[in-house]
Amino acid sequence: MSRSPSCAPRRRLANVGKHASATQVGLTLSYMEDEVAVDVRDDGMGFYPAGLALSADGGGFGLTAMRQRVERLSGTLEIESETGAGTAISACVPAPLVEELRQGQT
Amino acid sequence: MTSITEGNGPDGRRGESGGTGTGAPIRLLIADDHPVARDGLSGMLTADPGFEVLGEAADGAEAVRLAQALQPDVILMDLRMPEMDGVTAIAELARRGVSSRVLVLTTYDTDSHVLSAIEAGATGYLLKDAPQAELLRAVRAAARGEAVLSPSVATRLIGRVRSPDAGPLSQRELEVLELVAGGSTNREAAARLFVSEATVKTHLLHIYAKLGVSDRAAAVAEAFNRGLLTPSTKRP
Repeated sequence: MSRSPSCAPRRRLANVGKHASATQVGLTLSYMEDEVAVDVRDDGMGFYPAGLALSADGGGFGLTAMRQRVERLSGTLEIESETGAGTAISACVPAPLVEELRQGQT
Repeated sequence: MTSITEGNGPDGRRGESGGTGTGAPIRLLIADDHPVARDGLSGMLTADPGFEVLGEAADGAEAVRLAQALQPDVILMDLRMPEMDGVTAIAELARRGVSSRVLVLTTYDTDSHVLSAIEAGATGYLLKDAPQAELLRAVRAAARGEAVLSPSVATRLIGRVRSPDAGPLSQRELEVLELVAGGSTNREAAARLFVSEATVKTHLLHIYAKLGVSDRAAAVAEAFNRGLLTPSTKRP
């Protein structure tokens, strides 16, 4: 469990390299008062996310595993994409959990 | 199935009788993106003759559609959902004049979520760790139009009334607000900051909570009032 926050973006970055034909990819960690968001956004070819969102388990292509990981932490995973306009994936988890994880690691 | 045609709320029709076992059951809609949560709630509520579950929605947009079609007495609404989140759905219900009471049922008890849900028009705010009896009581109270708050949520609200300024905006929040003040949509602000729209929305919720407002126009106005933004503000 303690590997989860870093694992989702790592997997996502690997996917960007493999599939997206992106020229730019940004990894943004947003610390807020009560939650932490990790965003991975690229300017690649994107895809049509509705096709994925339609499946009740949250899609395929490793997104299911990513979503489960985040939801196990009471967080949410959002996937935003549009053909030709890149892809953004955002994982957001409550901050108390981040505290716990940090303490668990030390 | 009854439908409300003249906008009278649940209290006008069946308020006092619902859920007591003597009158018509309280008619419910459950909105939660987790199937297990929906099934659990639905099973718990249908086991009680005082409640009738009319439908289930997996996201905010579906909740709004079903609420309009089914006109439930009470909507149990999760906040974090794909497509359209709970707060947006609550505001949309109010905008469309749907008179169903909304009882927020979520894992989040943070300031930004509580305040924006209540400002959007939620009747109550309950946490998912609430005991079953408390949940059933809360649904009955919400059907009567009474405000229901989990103790930790009530504490947060009281705290906010006593100290309305919830701290300064972070650098990032100011950046988001500057873009919004400049007319950017969430999508445009997200593209500019190279983050997801979801994160821009989250920043905005925090900004609303800190400024004590409930929409982007009011946030911009309040930020100018407080001198957080000035007409000459330019992004570097």
